[in-house]
Amino acid sequence: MFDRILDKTGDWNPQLFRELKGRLKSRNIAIALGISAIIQVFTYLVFLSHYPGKHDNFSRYCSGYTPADWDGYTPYNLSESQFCARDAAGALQSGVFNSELWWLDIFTTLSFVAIFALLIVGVYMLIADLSREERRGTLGFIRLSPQSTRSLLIGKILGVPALLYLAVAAMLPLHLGSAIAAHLDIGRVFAFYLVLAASGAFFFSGSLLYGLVSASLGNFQAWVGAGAVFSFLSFYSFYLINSYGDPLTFSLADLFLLLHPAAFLPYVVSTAPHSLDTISYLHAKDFAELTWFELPFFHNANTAIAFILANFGVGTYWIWQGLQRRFHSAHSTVISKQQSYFLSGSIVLAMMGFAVQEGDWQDSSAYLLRNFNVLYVFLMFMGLGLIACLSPHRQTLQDWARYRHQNTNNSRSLWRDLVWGEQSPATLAVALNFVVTGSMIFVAILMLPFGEYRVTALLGLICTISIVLVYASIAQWMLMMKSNKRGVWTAATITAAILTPLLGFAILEIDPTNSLYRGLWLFSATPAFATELMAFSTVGLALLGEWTAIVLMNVQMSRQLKKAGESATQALLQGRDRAAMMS
Amino acid sequence: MKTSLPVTQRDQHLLYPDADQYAIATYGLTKQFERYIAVNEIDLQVKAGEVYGLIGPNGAGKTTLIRMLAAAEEPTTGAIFINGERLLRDDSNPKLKQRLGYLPDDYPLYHDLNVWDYLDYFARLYRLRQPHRRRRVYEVLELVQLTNKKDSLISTLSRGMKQRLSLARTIVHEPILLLLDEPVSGLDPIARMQFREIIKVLQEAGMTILISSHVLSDLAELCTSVGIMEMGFLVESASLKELYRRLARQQIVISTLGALDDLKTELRNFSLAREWETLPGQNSLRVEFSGSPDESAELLKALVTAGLPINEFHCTQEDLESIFLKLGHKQAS
Repeated sequence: MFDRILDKTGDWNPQLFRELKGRLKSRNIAIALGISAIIQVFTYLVFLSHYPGKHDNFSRYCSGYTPADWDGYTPYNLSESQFCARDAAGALQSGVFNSELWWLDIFTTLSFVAIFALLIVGVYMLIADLSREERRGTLGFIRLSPQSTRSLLIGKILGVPALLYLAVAAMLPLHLGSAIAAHLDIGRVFAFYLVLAASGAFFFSGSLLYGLVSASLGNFQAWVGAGAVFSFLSFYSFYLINSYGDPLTFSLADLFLLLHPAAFLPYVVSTAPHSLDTISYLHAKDFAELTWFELPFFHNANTAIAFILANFGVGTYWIWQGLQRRFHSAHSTVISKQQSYFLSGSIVLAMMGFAVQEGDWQDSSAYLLRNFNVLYVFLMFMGLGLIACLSPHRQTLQDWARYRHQNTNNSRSLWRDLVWGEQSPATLAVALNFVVTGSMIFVAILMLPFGEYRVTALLGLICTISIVLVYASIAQWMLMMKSNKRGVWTAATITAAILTPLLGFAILEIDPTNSLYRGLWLFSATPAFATELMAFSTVGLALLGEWTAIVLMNVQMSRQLKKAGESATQALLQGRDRAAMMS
Repeated sequence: MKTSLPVTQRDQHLLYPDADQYAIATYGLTKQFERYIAVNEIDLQVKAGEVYGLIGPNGAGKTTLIRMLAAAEEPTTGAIFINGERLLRDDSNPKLKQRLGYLPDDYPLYHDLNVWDYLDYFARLYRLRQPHRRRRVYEVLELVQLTNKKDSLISTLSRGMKQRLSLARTIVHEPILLLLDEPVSGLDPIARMQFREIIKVLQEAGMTILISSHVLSDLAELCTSVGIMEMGFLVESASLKELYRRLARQQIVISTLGALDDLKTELRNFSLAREWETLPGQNSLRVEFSGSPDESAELLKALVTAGLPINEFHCTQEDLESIFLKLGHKQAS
């Protein structure tokens, strides 16, 4: 029976068949189910130990009212309606134990366990598997087969973590059972499963792309990938669970919160028959206030889940664009220049939607400026991401310089090649990306009620774009290095270029508001925070300096490329030694 | 990454007019690593049904060339046609991939699968359906003599068996073009012989086969054509017959029961016998002879008529190894 199903699966997706064949052995299955059982029993026992004890007067799980003659104190985190009323024998009176809340807590705990286990372990497994196949050379054969990239990689995503899926699925009965016992809306619970699946598609596709891109890191890469996901999940989980913290910032950072599958849990928990204060976590009312371009998507669960799924969907779509390109050719860039213009446009659009929210506790134009300054920080990170995704491999650049006239469609026009070409240097394309996104933000600044801060916001935008272009030029130049570790070196240099000034300001106490040397802030990664306080002339001079640096670096870069692109004959005629070139 | 123009059918015919006459045709195929040109403007043509041997010292560019033909490596510039169809490295030509079988020199395998599952997996990747798939896996297992190992884990196989299993993987989808990179290196003499037998069977089945090797004797027995690569260039490409005709000298080994000096004296009367050397330990001479078979019969008759006690007289040809050395090809530096 099992073999027949496996055989049918193999006809549909051979890669999935291979992964299942290698993994689903009875010993492995027993281990996976065992671990799942241990986790569930452990969770259950932990909550059993939180049962209101004999001597507890108050408990989270009691729902009695404090009697009028009560002279003890009420614990600070519990209310007067959480009194453990007892009968003469000292047992809890019937109906006092709040079993729905108790089950709700089990439900929430298991949800978080599932999210963490699925995403972190899954990401680790996929990256480790891909890097092992790449290292051994077996991935090469799969690439040569007539299967499509999509079929092969879907097979990997569904098959490599098969045992993990099994372990998580084994938690389903207890999870669903606790949801029913907590009187939750089962429809919402299944909607949560949908969100979890969508987040899996997003993170797992992302980890495959990361695995293909970072093959040079070797064994280490799986740990880095899983560590990054762990940090992300822990950071936002803390804010979601913590009853005092407000998980939402009402800025564009909320877009990233929506990548946490638990972002939908408040809508599930809110169907429980308790006041949200009794539950004290995952407040849906915070979410209800969140807007996107002032549209109240999060006011009800249906539009909220639609938004969350769309967010994952768009992200997964772009990752797959990269996978399709990268799988067959390790030297191609992650996205094409053409795609990059759409990608950066869509990212900025999504982020801006959250940036235009109005805080009700502050002057709204100042609030807008704050949100746009945060937007600029993300813009900078997006720029760095674009550099990483668009910069061609050194060999590609060299081939481009040498054989451009033979190979490309755009051999007649250098400009067209720089804007659209597959192998040309990325600096102009990165700049053009900023023209696209910059004009979107520019229009927004003109249209939104910025008031007196309009010029400041504009200057912040220009300064941010300039400094990112400086980074882009440095990166592109460094990526022409001969060293095999040029990627690592470039990343390290750019990180240093970002962090050193900021650290320096912190140590030397150079504050943008008062220091004599505050002009230096304009050369940091976050110039937008300083533009408000600078004279026009200072900003102008700083921009002039940055633009000069950009031009100089690109002139030098094009000279280097020209040299790299000359034929052996040219080099010989000019009496240059082969070894001396490209150094 | 596509380095090629989107060429229409008509353009293709104009640019590469004879592409569809060959099983493999390359035009200006070049691969450059840094400033080093591994494969330099190679125009290779291999006819259907041939066994084409690629000879050359280490570092001559054989592996890079084969990898490009198998679509495992992107050419820097140039075009490859397989049976008249342009080969590109993307999802665009599953049919073409179905026709190629490539065996690299390091043949990586999955150690967690058994022999049957491994071949079954690749048969599925290449879209073979039941019951044909089961039949085909049995067929190739029989061909590479691994039927009795079909349930063994791959990690337990010997090196020769792994090599044969890899070959089985390469042919399980019935490709019509096989690309084998140093297939017999590291194998013992018996395994080599088995391998040669398999290749002969495949050739009889009509596959076009391209083999690279530096074991020249293996190629001499198998190949119909030979290409010699050196420092990225294809310096020689011809059928084996043509190569022998052009480059191999005919030799006659003559043994006598009498004195060798008498034989030598007699040979001096024949202008067609240009040079000779004494074979050590025997009373024989190896004579360079440039005449026709009739003329060699004349020579024998003359020697016998002169009363020399000739007990051996046979014509041989130089082997591939000495032809290769004679061409003066050096190790690539």
